[in-house]
Amino acid sequence: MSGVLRIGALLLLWLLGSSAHAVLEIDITEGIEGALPIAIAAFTGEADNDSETIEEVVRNDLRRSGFFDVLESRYFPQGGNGASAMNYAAWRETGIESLLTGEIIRTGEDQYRIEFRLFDLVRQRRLSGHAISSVSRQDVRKVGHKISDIVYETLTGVRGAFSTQIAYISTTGEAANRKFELRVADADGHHARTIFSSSNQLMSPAWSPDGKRLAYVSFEKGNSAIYVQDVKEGRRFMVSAQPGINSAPAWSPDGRYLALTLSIDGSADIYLMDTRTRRLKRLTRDMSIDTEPCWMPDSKALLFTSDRSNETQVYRVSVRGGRAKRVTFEGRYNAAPDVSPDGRHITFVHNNGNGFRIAVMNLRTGDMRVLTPGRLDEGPSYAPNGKMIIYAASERRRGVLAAVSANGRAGQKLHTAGQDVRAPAWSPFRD
Amino acid sequence: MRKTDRHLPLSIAIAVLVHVVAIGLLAVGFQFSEKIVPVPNVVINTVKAKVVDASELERIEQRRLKELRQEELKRKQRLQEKRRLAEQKAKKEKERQAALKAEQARKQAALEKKKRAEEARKAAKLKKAAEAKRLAEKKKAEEARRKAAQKKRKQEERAIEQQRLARLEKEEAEIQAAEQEARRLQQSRRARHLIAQYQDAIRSKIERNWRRPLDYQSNAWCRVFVRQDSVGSIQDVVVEECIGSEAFRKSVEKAVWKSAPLPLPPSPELFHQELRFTFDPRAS
Repeated sequence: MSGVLRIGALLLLWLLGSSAHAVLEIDITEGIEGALPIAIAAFTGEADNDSETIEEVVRNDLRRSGFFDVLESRYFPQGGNGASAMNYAAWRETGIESLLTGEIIRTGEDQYRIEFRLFDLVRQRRLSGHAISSVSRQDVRKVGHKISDIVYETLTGVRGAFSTQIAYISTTGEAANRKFELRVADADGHHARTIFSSSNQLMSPAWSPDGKRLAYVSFEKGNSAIYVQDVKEGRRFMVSAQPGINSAPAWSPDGRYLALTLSIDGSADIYLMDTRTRRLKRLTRDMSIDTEPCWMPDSKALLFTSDRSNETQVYRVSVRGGRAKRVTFEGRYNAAPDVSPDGRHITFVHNNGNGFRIAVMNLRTGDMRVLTPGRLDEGPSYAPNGKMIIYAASERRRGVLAAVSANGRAGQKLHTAGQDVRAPAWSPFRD
Repeated sequence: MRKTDRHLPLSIAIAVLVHVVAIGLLAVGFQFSEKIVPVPNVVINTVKAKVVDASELERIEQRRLKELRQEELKRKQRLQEKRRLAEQKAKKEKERQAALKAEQARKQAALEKKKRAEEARKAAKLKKAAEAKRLAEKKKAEEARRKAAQKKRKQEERAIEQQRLARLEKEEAEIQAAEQEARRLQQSRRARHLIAQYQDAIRSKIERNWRRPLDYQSNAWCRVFVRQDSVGSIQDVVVEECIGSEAFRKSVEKAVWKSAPLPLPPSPELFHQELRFTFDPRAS
């Protein structure tokens, strides 16, 4: 039987004009869409019993990104990662594709060396091995984000944004005790610190392209004014205090210009301010309210919110001014746009009658997708790698920080206890 | 002229003589049965005249002329009578002749008729004979034709039979060829089937293992070249062409590596060491 089959098969190969040397073509069209399953083993070594461990930071980071399925340790195989040798076969059974292991080595008083390795369990090889030296206990989170960045980039090819920061306005207290704070925190909401506080309203923080300064609106002088503050040094100075409205600052990609909303000519319009000369150039001329400008990455145009059509919609205007073109059409309310770093997508607040939600839209195709289920979500801001969006969600009538992956697969509230949070802004990469 | 006048009596005499002779000749001529005038008397009288006195002569002549005239008259009467009789006779003869002729004609006509009838009969007979002959010929010709046709038909039948045989032979050959072709096709179909089976096995394993990134672009696709060893272990994965994010590309590579060992073919001869996968979600 097999002999017949063999002769037949040989004949067939000949008939098909095929041979063992020919390349067999196979089309693959179906697949699973899903997050990458990864195991993050507990880091071994002399760690103090801190409330948080490095691996926890990494797990949360990767989980929040929406690209990883971070598996609990109970799925790990017994003796999967021995001290000396990996038992790949045991891991393979689990279907987990990647493994992160780490070791904390004490090198002195509050001095540690963190070594970590990333394994490709599919190809059964070590992808990378790193060591971070001179780590003190307070750097645990920072180190965790750093490791997350490396893992993320190694496995997705996209730079991780876990070590970046966010700025937001926090409100605490009631009535006379009300306190407005401009805060800067790690991208996961931890490690927040106040860089400016005021008993008057603060609004709209915006990162300079180098990530060193923040422009924001302050009512500390009674009327609105725009200030620029050095994040690290704390130095601040006022850049605009025009009569009427001074709001919604946005830095040009080269950092030279600030787009602002001013009402010096009557209605609120978009202006460009040269930060060196403070000279203004009016960009929009409309009786309606034009506000919330943001720059396209190529600096050639800006998006802004306008109610000129009696609906609130997003428009685009050339940096040289001229006629604005409407960008959003789906739903009655689309506002507060932010452009993805690659300029392909925008995120904005969308309302079609069932709440203010964060949506993304492909600028080329116009395809829109609502990412959040909230009722009063606001102020979306892209991560510098474009893979996540931070925004302010509403929870018990208070704003809380939330992050959603740009694919909408993962959403997470960030750690902002006891505050009313508004207007988050994700920082650029700081090289 | 004068000279002629002098000779007139002679001339007349001669003329009369000539006439007499002529009439005599005529009479003789017409009446073989009549008494012939004695021509020698006349000739003698003429010769005798030469020796008689002229006046005497004249008288004699007159007398003789009178006699002659009377005689002539009588002769003429006789002649007339004779002519009348002759005419009568002729007429009678003519009538007789006519009657005879009529009779003859009648007879002739009857004869003719009879003859014609005879001829007609003969003709009819002839015609009948000719018809018979013609029929015979026709029959003969038909027979010949029939025979020729039969011959031809037989030839044709033979030819047809030969053709049929040839066709049968050809058909037989064709059937054999078709059967061979069918066997060949079946085998190649089987080969294709087996190869398809092999491809399906690999495809389904890879598709089970292809975890696409959540945000891959709709136009993303990748083509990878894969080299395996004889037990399906993957030796090499080379991305030949790829549109899409790095995460997408990595997902493709990982899908291949994760699928090792690749399924083996149903028959070892179908084994391909080199494979090319086109990962294209758009094609689904």
